[in-house]
Amino acid sequence: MVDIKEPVIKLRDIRKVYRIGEEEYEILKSINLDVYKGDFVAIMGASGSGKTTLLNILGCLDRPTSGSYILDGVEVTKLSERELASIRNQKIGFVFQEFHLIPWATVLENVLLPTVYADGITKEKIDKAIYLLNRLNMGERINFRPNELSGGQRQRVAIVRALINDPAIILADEPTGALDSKTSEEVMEIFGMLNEEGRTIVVVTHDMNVASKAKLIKHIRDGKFIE
Amino acid sequence: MVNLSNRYYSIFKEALSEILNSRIYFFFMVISLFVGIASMVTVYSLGKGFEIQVIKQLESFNFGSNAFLILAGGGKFFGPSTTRSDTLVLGDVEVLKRLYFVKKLDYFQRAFMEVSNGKDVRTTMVFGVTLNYPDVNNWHVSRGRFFSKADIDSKAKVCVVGTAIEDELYGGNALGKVIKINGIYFTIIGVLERKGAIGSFRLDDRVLIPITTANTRVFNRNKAYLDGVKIIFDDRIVDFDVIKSLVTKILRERHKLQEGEPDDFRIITPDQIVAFRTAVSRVITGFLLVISLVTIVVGGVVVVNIMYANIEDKMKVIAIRMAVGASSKDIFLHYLFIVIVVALISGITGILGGFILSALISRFASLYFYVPINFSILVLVGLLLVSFFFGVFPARKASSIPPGVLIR
Repeated sequence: MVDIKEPVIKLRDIRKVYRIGEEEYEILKSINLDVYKGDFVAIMGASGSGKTTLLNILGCLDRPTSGSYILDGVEVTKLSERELASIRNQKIGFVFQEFHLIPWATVLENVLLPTVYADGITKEKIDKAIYLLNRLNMGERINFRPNELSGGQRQRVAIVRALINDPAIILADEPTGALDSKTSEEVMEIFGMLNEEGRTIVVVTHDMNVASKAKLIKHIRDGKFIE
Repeated sequence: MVNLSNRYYSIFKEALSEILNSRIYFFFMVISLFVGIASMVTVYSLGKGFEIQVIKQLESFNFGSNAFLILAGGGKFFGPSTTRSDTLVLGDVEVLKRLYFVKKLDYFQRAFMEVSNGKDVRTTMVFGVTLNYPDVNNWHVSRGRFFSKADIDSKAKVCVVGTAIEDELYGGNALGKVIKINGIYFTIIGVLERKGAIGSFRLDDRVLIPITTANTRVFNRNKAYLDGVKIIFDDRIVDFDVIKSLVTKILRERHKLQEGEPDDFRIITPDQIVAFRTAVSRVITGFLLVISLVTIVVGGVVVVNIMYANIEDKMKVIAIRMAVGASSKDIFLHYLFIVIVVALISGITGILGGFILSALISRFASLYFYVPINFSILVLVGLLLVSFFFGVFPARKASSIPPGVLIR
């Protein structure tokens, strides 16, 4: 385990430049960020602010043009595609706005998906999945399919899927964007509870109500954090 | 170290669950390969079945690997004689008879002749044969009797007919009736067992008479030459190649052929007859096999395209898998698995379908039904190898989908 004083996420001078023809667009300009273990950070910004690009880089779905990103002690900007896949698998738990569950798979199968690309599905992982689903009151529905669930229930399944491999960070992209306000409240309570257990959470959102649940709010505008 | 086999097993199960939930794509992929496989197996099975049927028929009258035929006159197999053909005589047979490996032998004269029941006339092959004919050819009379030694010695005007003659000239009841052969009246004393046809060659269209009668009364030959000798030998004690060179040497010597002169006889083996009788069917079979191979290739191209459509449809799911940790290689394997499963299922169902179709056709055409196990295994293995080729392109496309499409 990393030293408690080392951040789980350490971004240094992250830049992202897109080149379209002759024109260069600098989407991220020198981003620096430290997220420590147990933090709950909200990143806020309007559309076009570079928020999505930053999320892609944080989630190891994309690489920065330059800069350094150390995730849980590993410099990820130099990793190959396969190593990045393994980092996503082991160190990052995604929660998406649109839930992104496999439509034909049951709740249990969806939750176990990340374990397929770890050691394969094992008995321990199944037990763990059922335990976690029970904790989020989804124990009765492990054989349901996503279209038989409400939005809030789907998001809870997605959260359990994010937790199944015990990632270093949970990365949520507008996790309440597709939910009504009451359900949003419930989902944010779950994030709060997970954070109290010591999990590190980064939420990207433009919704102040969501961001207010975080311990730290960072605003991004024109590819830079503003104080 | 990660448990690799369990990981691959889980990826495989993930692929299977995608198959089970994309049944339309899957169904059309299987169908497009099924057609080619089934037709290929059917064609091969029928072609092979026909060949086996010919072999079995030949064996059914003692023309297996322990028998051969000496025909008078040199030249190509079954072609017209290109040398004198009146040199094979009884003296040759007497010498051959004494060879240690000869078990049984029958010699004959034959000619196409007109035969008549008094009203209708038809042309058939008339054979002058010896007492050994039924034994050597494993072809006995089913009703009446065969010739006796007395019939042969006295050059009796008696004959045994094939069922084709009985049916067509005597309405199925020839026994005791009179038949006119080349203007001479014969009494029908026996009817041969029915043997059917080898290809288009109707075996039952024949009349047997004693060879002595044939030689002196019917064929009117100036010289008592023979048209052929059939020999059954003991294949446990001597190789056919040895026999063939020995027989050739003896006959050439007895016929006083000079070095460089061609043989004035032909030694015919069952293999040659099978090859001759199946030559046409082999060409047709080969041609149809090529067509079904093309069908399979076309089916493969269809599979590739349906697979592309399926992947297009599953973009989001592929991105989800990658976001939670699937590498490009995992996705590649996933779709390769699917194509291999498609190949396996269409291969197995196609082969079974081919068996069923071939069994039905064999039944209606009263052909021998052959189950081509080895050929089917070959087809399946070939299909699996080719399916890698079919699978690689769509699978590579799937593995290049960027997972970032999930975030907007």
